[in-house]
Amino acid sequence: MRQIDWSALFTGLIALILSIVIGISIVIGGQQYYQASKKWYKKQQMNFLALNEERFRLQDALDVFDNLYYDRLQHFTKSGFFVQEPNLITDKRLEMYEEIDRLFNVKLADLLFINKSSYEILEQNLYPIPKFLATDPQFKTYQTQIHFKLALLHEGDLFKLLQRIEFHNHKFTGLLNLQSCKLSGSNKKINTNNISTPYLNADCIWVWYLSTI
Amino acid sequence: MPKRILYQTDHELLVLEVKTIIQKIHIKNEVEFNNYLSNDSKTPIYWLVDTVKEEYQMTVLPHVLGKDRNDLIRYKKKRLFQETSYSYAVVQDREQQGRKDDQVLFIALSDPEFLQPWLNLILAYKVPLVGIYSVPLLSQQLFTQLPKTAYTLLITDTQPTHSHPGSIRQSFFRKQKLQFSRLIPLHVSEPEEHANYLLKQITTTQHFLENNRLLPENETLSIIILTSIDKCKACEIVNSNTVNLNINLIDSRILANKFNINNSDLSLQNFIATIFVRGRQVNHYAKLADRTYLIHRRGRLVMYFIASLILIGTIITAGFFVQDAIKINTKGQNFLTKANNLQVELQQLRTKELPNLPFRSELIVSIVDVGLRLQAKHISPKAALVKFSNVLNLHQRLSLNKLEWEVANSPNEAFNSNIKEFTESDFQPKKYFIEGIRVYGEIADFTNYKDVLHIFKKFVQDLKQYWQVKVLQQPYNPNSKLQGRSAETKAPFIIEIFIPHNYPHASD
Repeated sequence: MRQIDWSALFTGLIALILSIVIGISIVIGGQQYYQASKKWYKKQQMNFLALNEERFRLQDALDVFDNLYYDRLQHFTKSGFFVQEPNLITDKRLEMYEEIDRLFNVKLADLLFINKSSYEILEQNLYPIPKFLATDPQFKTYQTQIHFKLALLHEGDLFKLLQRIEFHNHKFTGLLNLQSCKLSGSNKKINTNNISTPYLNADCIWVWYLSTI
Repeated sequence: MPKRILYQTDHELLVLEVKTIIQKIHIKNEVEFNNYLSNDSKTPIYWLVDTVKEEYQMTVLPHVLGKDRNDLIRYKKKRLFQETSYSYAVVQDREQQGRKDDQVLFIALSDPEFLQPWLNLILAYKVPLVGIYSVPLLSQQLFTQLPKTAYTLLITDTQPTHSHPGSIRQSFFRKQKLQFSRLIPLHVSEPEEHANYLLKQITTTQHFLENNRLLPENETLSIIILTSIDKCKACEIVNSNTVNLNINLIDSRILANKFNINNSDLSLQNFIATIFVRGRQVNHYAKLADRTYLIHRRGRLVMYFIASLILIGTIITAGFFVQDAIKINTKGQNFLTKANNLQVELQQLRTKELPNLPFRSELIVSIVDVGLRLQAKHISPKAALVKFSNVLNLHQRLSLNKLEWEVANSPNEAFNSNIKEFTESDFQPKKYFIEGIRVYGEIADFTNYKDVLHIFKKFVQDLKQYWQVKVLQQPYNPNSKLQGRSAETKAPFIIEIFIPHNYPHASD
């Protein structure tokens, strides 16, 4: 067997080398074209998203203005429901406590059998905002339950009490809502001559709401 | 596919270029061959040898297979043909009796020197040599169109050329397998002389075959003479007058028709070349060193093939990239178009006078939406309770034990009940919230339960004029267990009232 005659394989080798070089060039070229297209696509996408975001921002701002959101915001800010500074929440809670105490011991005192009535302010926790509202993730609303155990002469006094609290409502920052009331008789037989004893017990829960970012 | 055949006899070298027709080129000397190869050194060469310098040995070998057979044949070839390395062996048949040995034909070129000058030039021009083939052995394939007998002597003749007289080849076949062949020069040209000479040579060959036991006793030798029509007739006359052999004369033109050879040249070269190109032939004599450039050529073809595969593969791969890129470009183009449209829209929006908002619009919307929902729930129970009291006044026999009032997001959430009676389609918590009243009451001092049911039914009907009422507990259930006369004088009941309130929208 003769040695390998490379000159006889020359054209084959050249073809092989050329095919490898051309092949690699084609693949690299194709890949670079793909990468360039991808880069261009991302650029166009980012550009579009940026413009779209700007459009939404401008449109939202217009919508907020057109739909009276801005007026409502001013109202809620003024009423104290929205507190811009989260640090102020504690102060507001203390103010609320003082107002409740004043309300209970002063404004409502004549309607209650005060020795048999009490109130309790529970701890503050987050108000669960329904998911369908899709609020801003930074936005938080806190709720505090205020539990009133009231001993009243009759249901007329209850309505008066509710009315007084309503009149007093403007003293509170934030929103104060009556959530529930459980009314029950005292199991004593009503004697119209004896008004020194309560005939109606009311367990009512008010909830105080405050929001911040 | 066109093939290039070198047809070498003892007197001349022919190049047969077989395409649709066979083109013959006479090579007179090495200089001409050198010039010829210099013009085309790429086309592979098939080298057919038709010479007197070829030996034939029929022998038997034990029937073994694989490497043992190869070793045995190699050993035998060395023993038989010590002077030449151009030898070949082919198993022709197998004995039917005894050890059932293989019948092997060994052939060799006794004087391979006559190949060397041509071979040197072939190697010098690096021409791929596919193989060196024995023409007598290839002539076996003529039997596909010839009469088949047990023992046949096939006579073919070659045309005389300007420099050399013709020749006669006598090949002996057993069961259409070559056993022996001889080439005899032919110095006569007249058909009758030719016939006499031919028949004389046949008789000589027949004696030789009988003496060497190639032709068994009492066996008839069938003689096939492949020649032209005029020589056929002469042979017929001479045979019938003098020798009376079992001769089968076949006109070359008839055989050519059977092989679909449309050529006026009906020489043996033409027959063999035609048969040769139509089938796949095994190399007889060429050594590995002689075929080195064929191997190089095959290597080159493999490289071309691999190169083609690489190119195809890479083009396909690049095609995928380009295809994906085109898809991405189309998507990008869509974004570009949308962005251009947005630019127009934005230009219009920017011209509008926008308020200077203190917060992001999303945050403002959140504050207002939540605030409005909570503010909407700021309701007093007074209105509902006064209305309920008015209805209750109409039913003096009913008394209340307990009353619960609650504001909830939906009926399901009210009074901590886990009863999921209301679905999203019944009640839409996005639009409404619930003011609920649960009443625990009783009917006292009744005479019979029929009366109780009547009173309660009327009470519920009156309430339903205003609200949606759900009875949780009937004062009396006739379907429950009944026993004797009850001492019970009170009939308790529980009902729930749901009053839906809708949420306002910021723009309301």
